[in-house]
Amino acid sequence: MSMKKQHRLFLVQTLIAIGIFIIASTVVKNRFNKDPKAQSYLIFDEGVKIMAASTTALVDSLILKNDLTFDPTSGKLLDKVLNNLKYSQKSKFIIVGSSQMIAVQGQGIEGYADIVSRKLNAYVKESYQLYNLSLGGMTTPEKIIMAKKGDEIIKADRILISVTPWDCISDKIRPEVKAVENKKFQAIKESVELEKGVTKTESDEVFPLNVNSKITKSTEGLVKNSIDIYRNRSAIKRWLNNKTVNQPEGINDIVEAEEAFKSNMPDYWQTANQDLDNITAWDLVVAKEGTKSIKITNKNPQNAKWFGDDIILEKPTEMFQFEGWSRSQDASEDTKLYCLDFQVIFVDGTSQWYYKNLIFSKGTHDWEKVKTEVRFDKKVKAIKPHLLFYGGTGTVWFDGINAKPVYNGKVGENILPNSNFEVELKERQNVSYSYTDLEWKRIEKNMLSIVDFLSSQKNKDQNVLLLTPFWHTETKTAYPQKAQYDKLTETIKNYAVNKNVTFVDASHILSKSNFGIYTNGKRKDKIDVLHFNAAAHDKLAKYIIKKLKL
Amino acid sequence: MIFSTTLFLVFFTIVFVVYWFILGNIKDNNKRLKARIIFLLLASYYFYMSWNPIFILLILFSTIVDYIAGQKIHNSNSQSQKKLFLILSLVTNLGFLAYFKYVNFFLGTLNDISGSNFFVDVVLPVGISFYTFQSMCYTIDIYYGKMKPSKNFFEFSLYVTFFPQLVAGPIVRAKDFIPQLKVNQYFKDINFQLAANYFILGLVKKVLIADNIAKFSDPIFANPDLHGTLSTWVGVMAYSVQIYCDFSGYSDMAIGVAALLGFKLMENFNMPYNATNITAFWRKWHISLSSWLRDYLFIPLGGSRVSKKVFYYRNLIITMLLGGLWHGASWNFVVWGGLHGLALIVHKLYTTKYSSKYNFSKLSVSAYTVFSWLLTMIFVMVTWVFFRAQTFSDAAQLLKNMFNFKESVNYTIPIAFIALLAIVIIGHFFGTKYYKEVEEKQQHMFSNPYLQGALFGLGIFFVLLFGSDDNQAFIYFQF
Repeated sequence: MSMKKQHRLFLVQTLIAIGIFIIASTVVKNRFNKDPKAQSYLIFDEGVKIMAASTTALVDSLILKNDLTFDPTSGKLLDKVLNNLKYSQKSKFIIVGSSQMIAVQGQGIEGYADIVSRKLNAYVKESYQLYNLSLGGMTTPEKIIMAKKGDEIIKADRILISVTPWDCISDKIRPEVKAVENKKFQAIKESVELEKGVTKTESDEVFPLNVNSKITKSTEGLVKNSIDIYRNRSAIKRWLNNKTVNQPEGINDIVEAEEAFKSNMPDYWQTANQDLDNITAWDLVVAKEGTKSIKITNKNPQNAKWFGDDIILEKPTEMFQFEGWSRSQDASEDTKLYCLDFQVIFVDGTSQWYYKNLIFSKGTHDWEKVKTEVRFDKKVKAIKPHLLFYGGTGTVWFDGINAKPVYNGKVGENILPNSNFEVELKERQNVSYSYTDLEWKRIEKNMLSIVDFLSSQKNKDQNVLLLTPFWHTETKTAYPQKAQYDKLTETIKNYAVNKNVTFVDASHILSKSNFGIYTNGKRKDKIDVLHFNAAAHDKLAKYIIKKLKL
Repeated sequence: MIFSTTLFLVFFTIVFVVYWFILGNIKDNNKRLKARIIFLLLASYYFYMSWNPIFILLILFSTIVDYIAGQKIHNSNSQSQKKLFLILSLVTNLGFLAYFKYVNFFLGTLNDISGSNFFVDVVLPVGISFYTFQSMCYTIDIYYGKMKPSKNFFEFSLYVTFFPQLVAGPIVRAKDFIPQLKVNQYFKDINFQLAANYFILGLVKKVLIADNIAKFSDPIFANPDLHGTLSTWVGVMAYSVQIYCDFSGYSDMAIGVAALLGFKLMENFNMPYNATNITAFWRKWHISLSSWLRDYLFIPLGGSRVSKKVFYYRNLIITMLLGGLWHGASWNFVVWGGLHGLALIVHKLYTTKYSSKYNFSKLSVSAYTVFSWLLTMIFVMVTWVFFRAQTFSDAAQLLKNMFNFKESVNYTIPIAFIALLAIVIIGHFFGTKYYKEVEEKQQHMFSNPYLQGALFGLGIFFVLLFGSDDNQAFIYFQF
């Protein structure tokens, strides 16, 4: 059979396409392999795959035992989980929250027996069957969708939704949750014996041989085994992403709500003893350099200041040049100190405060510069900057604060980080969460909507709003804006009571020992304020039992 | 079953092989034709049932009603009987659409007014807006004598459910499609180049561009009050690109898949973001829907041939309001349609009263074109805010962000966004250049076939490498 010219041409095009594909793949793969970090990207990727495989295996084994009461896949297999929840004749109790309610600090998925719902189940097994429909980083609409779906499937007697400010900030709905939102699920019923290893899934309902999933699985396996670039694409994509947009490295397996960390305060600097806090005192409009500055506002005389951490010099020196800008509005005449003040630590361990020639004028003035050069008696090992507005009232702004070491008469580079206050604090300080007024309002609105939802559901027992345990101790808190946090708690509590929803505040029940330290990833060595250990899950379960009189 | 999944690849490979190489071996022309129609019909049912099997009954019911109505309308001698069967067809189709798509919208509006709390637990069947419109235009065309009814039930059923365009268009007309079913297709006549061109282009638009650029629009629409002017504009631009690439990508893939089976579907998009006025935009955007609305709503309402201009504008605004509502059961879509309707009226008023009075120099014409394009694009983007925002208050907040300067704290325009936007701009440039050639010659988009082959390879490479790890549903499936 002779071939049409057009078809012959298409064959040639196909060959060219294959050639180009192979060349492009080889070039990218080689570049990737040459990167010294390539192996770490592949290991990360492999870790994710193994985790996915083990959670899938866990889901399958729990289904076979008719013991699936939670989703260990954080929504990746949500449809399958919802289709295969455990059947029970007991009263049913649904728990919905974020990763705190489902993750056990220091343990992988093998620690699932220690999660709060399983603990609760063990303690109240006569009266309730617990279902935990929590997913990592759940947002408010996601919690409502999951509680609604769960109720539809489980026919719950009681629903508990757990909240904390950080998971009430975003309204995003992940595709997996969106996909189940409009899907009709059957209520759980006594399970018929399933073919070993075969589970019900969305698309297999009419195709008894599981044909669609089998086709997908085997074809994707074939593609992955034959096309190298496809097999490693997650690792290569992450590598390319880091190369081109310079985003942080590492597996980002936590959902956005957990990752959407915004400090809204300047990097390095913090303030004390003034009317404003670190967020509101970061002025995003007034500036001498760039677009931002920091300010101090005092209605009453206080020893207000901004300060940074110690900066250790790589090479000690006796000479320094200090400079900075400030403007003021109604800085009172009785102000004691309105200046740049450097705490200087010498190599012998002694220290000295230095602010000579670094004092600003009082009253009202536009940007004013102070600058001085100083030679100390001893070599300086470290300095710590302070911007003071002591004992006065009014508002002062600071910008462009520089400290430059001088070596052999030559002025070096400024050693103060974020000296023009343009950079936002990106790294959590012991992992804490601070919000703007607008964000607090949004958090309150979302929490109230959850109360409204719980109130509108016609469950047999009174539904519950739980304030999730968090990193709160006498000295440290995950939410440093204590006034806003307390006000929020009070508002929600009153609203819940009025709406006939039980309010349980478990936010302070845990102690420091219940939280661990991240052992890997970009937050290595930081406190994991989000997730608590098995003992804490047990403590929470008992606390819920006590408060609800279960 | 989404076009960009491996499951569809396997499904289509089986369909392709059976259709051309097994059924193609049937010697008798008539039998071959019938066997192929029945086979494609079964394949289409399987394709649809992979979403939600129960709703196939809905399609089947619509098909039976419209098939019988079509016969009855044609065979009836009395005009009143013809009308009766047309009404039966319209009530059935619009009834399903009203119930499955709009019942909670109507009840929600009623609840808002009366303080009641009505709600119906109903799931929206995939693609219902598309196949009901397709089915309706069949009976309407027969009623107006524009075509004769199909004598073969399977033929008509395949027209309603033909899998490449079943769930998200293009909305095909019976008089364009059914005649294609009456002709035996031959493997030698397949235009592989054109089909591959459409399919790979669609794949790139959907998997590479739409799915990836969504990352820049989703956060803005999820939390509008947390964003400033710059980030909101980037988010809205990203959504403008996303919806175009998502929808036109699906249409392109549908055209490519249909071409591989020997069928020709109409173009659904023609570089809409090149439009320099809103009328031109609607001639280039979702062409199958806009022409459907023109032929089956705007013209029956009286169209432009009316005694008073005001009736023309009324017809225009009704068409656009209902067109908006077609997209989704929400007042946001009604506002979106209404704004476009108003813009069409304003443009009409402007062109009839002013534009012809001015004689521009060549330079002024260029400046005027750029200005018109910019104005059109800003309007289109602003109206997408209503289309995408979840609530009115979100839309209002986004518009406030866009037009009242608000700093986007620590925000820099993402490089990936710029890259994806650049691809779309370049694509529009080349697309405009080669669109006519493709339409006229039905050949290939690039005059150099070897360059085209290389682009195929690059396209597949980028799709495999940058494709989203999770298969996301097409936006237009929800309509």
